[in-house]
Amino acid sequence: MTDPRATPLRRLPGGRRHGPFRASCWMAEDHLVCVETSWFVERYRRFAFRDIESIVIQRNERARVWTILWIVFLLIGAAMALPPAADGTVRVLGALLAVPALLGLVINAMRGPCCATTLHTRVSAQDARAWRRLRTARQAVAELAAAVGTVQGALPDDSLAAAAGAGAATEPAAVPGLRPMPPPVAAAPAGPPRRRLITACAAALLVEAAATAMAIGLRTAPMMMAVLGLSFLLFGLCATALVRGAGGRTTPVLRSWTWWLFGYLAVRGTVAYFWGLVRYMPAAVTGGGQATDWVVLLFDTWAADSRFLAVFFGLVSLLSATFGFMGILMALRSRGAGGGGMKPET
Amino acid sequence: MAPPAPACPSCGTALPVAAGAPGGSFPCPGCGAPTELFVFPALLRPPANSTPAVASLPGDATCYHHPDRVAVVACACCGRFLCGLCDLDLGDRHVCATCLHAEHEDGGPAGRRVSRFVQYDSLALALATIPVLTVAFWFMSCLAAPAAVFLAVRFWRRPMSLLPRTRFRFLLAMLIALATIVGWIAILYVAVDGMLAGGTEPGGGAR
Repeated sequence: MTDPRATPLRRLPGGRRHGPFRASCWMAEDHLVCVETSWFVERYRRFAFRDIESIVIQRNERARVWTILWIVFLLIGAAMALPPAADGTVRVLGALLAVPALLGLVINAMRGPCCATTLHTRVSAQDARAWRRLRTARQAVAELAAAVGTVQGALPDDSLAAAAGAGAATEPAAVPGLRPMPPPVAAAPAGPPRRRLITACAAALLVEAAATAMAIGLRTAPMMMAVLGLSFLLFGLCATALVRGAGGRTTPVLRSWTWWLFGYLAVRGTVAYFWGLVRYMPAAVTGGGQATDWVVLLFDTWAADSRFLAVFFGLVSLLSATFGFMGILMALRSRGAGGGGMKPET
Repeated sequence: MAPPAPACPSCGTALPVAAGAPGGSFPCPGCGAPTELFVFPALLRPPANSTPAVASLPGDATCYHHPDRVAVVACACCGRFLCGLCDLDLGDRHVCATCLHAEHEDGGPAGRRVSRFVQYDSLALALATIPVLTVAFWFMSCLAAPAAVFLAVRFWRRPMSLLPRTRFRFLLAMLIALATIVGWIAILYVAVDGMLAGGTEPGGGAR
């Protein structure tokens, strides 16, 4: 096979690494190569400079959502590690949560706001996943625009206004017996934002409810830890969906019952956490008192003899409330932006 | 017909083309998100193949695949006449779909533009390291390590990427995998030796 690496490539600013997924953009002599690696397969999408029609950079709230998430985890970790009465295990777990959260907060702030970048050609609209930060996207697009300009030339000053106001152009002459070429199919719109997080948060709620029920029934510390760990895993997935939803990458699913679930999630989490805060935290901080009053109040059957478990469960409830309120807020804004089903343009 | 306007990535609303001044930001007409639009002359260019395939008249040269269509070009590889539908414009030459597919299979000029690579070096490294690092799956290293060595040997010369890439991953995978294999051999040797020693002790044997 002829060596496919014969064409020299120059890397453009930007790039993204998210677990097993990596994305970057490289520039050849006459085309752009978008490289995406998923696990062990590397895929390429090429765009000739002569075919690129426009590039859209749109700022989104992904960075803000990350900031909120990092702050939440930092506060939780600090709440676990700092109280004088906290035992060693709780302190270690709190530090393991707080330190990465602090690093993430700083790195997120340094990298700046997030954006979504789309390359448009006559037949496609490609999301440039490597350019998700506004600063690097602008740098990369500036370099790319210069290269495209050398191939396509400069845009005449009045051409955009003239094109925008242009009426119907001359149609190609109709040929008997042949149908005219169909117009190019426009890329399906991305759909209303933040809907995937609604579905993911609802799923997290359902499993958390099931996990709580299991915890009530099991009454053994290792199994309760396991189910609560499952809740945390789901909250991690929920956070991922939240971030991706804030970036506009969502599926067009909106179910009215999620409103009720979000309401329950928010109310239940808030009541559980603040009741525990009022009834239990002073005792936890000072080292005395019972650890389970608030849990008994809610469920009326379960009693934990471990202060750590009670604190852990309280923090899970705090996350429930956080995601519940954020989900409601996002859903409200999504509905205001034009909610509804997504249909491809025809 | 006005040129197709780019759409907002969030709400799908068509963006105002006239706002395509570089460096300028404007709110999306649909969702209000801050948007920057960079427009190039290709947007104003008419479609390349706007003329559909034309029906043939007696005496016209016709397409090899569509006898009722006028031929507009000959394939640069096989020489067959092609209509507007069959013509594949590669920029510097025109080919038919059959020749393009054949070139792709043979790795010719048209096939040089591969769309994906399987990164066997990363796969070998994962097979060599993950079972060793994860306590729960350490027992799978007895299968994963030989598989890693096989991948490293089998695909050593194959290109792994369009981008600059060394064979460091293959080397590391082989080192770790070979060390794992040696470890397993040692474990088996100790286990068998212990069983044999326990069977030959006086007063030992089956109870």
